[in-house]
Amino acid sequence: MQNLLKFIQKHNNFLVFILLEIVALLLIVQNTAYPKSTLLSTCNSFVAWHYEVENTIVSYFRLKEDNEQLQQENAMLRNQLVLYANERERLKEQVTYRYANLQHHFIPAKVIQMQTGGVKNYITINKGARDGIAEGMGVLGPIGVVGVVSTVGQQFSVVIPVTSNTGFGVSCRMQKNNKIGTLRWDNKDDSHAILIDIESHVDVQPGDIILTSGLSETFPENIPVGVVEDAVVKDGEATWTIRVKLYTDFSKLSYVQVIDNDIVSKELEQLRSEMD
Amino acid sequence: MKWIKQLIRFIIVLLLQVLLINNLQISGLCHPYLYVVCLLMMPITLPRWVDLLIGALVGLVIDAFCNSAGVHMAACTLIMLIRPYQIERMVVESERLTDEIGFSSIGPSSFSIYAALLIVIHHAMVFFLTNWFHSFLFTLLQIAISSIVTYGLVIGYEFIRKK
Repeated sequence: MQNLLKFIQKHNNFLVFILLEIVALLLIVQNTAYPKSTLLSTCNSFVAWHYEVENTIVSYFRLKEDNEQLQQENAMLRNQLVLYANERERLKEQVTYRYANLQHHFIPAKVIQMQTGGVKNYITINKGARDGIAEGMGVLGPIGVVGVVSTVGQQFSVVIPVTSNTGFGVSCRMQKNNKIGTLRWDNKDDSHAILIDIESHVDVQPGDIILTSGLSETFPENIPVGVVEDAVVKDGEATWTIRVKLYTDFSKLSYVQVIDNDIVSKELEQLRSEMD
Repeated sequence: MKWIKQLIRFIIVLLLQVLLINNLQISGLCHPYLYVVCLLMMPITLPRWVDLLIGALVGLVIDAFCNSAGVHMAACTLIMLIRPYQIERMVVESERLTDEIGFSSIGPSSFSIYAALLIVIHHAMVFFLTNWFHSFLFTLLQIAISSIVTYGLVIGYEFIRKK
């Protein structure tokens, strides 16, 4: 006992060091996939407040660019609206149908901080639990898919982009033949990701459009993801490795929409519980 | 008074780090961590276990800003452990240093070597813990390039401070 006390007295600095390192390692292991603690991440309101102040200043220099992007998105949506309005008129004559429930609603948010270019990337947005954001919600940019909400604070949240090494994949389909694959990141750059699980006999050409499949609850169907840049079948594999150029330009991302899939999830839950 | 000065420096360097340097993403390979300058320059008058706690705390604050819980904490604690041994090796006089560590207190050449060593150790720890063994070559390049940039910034900081 006395020897032990002597030992501790002699090496107390080193013991403090070991203790602190163990705490650090535990924290790292706990947060490997994505930040789990609200306190120790950028959705901590104190931390996020700094980024928000910075963003308010910086965003003035990007007004023109943001405006153009929003205008483009507006034009695209307007075109679609005309298309759907015509379709509706046409359908009205043929069948009487009831409006489907609005399945998803979108929560607009602003990107206040972004870390890209590394192995682990993330985006901080200025909406949190208070605004109805929950873990696992999908996030869209002006044109394409951005990522998934991973950590939610009171007023801020952390989003893991599709270009981050965290192991989540987005279920996608090819527009022309409806083949389903999974989109993952290959740790290379922010403008590309890899589509896997599509069998090698399927026709895949550069320029083919990739959309979300709607198979998971995170993203609704038919959200644009990107275009095929090149595709190869690696030796000994039965599936394509397809390099996809993403529509979302992460370097210019300022505004995003978080998909509130509450209604869908609740309905699915109900269905599942009925089946059990 | 001396410690208030250290605290103010920490706040300024922290803001510089998270609001400016972290946003200058020239490439994924270049992530300089200038904030280590605060730890490098801290006087060595405190008991060592207090030094270690300060290191851990500084690391945790940076971690919160970088979504990297634990990574900077581990790296900062490690360099705070090595720091006093390094300084003891450098300083020939037996008198105890009470000033902050810099060009004027331990000499430019000693400080340059001391800073280089600790920066490389710190960055190596940070990038290995961030990437694990995901891509060894990429990590090595990250460590090399980021360390060089941080080193340049730290030495630059010392020159500015001297004037």
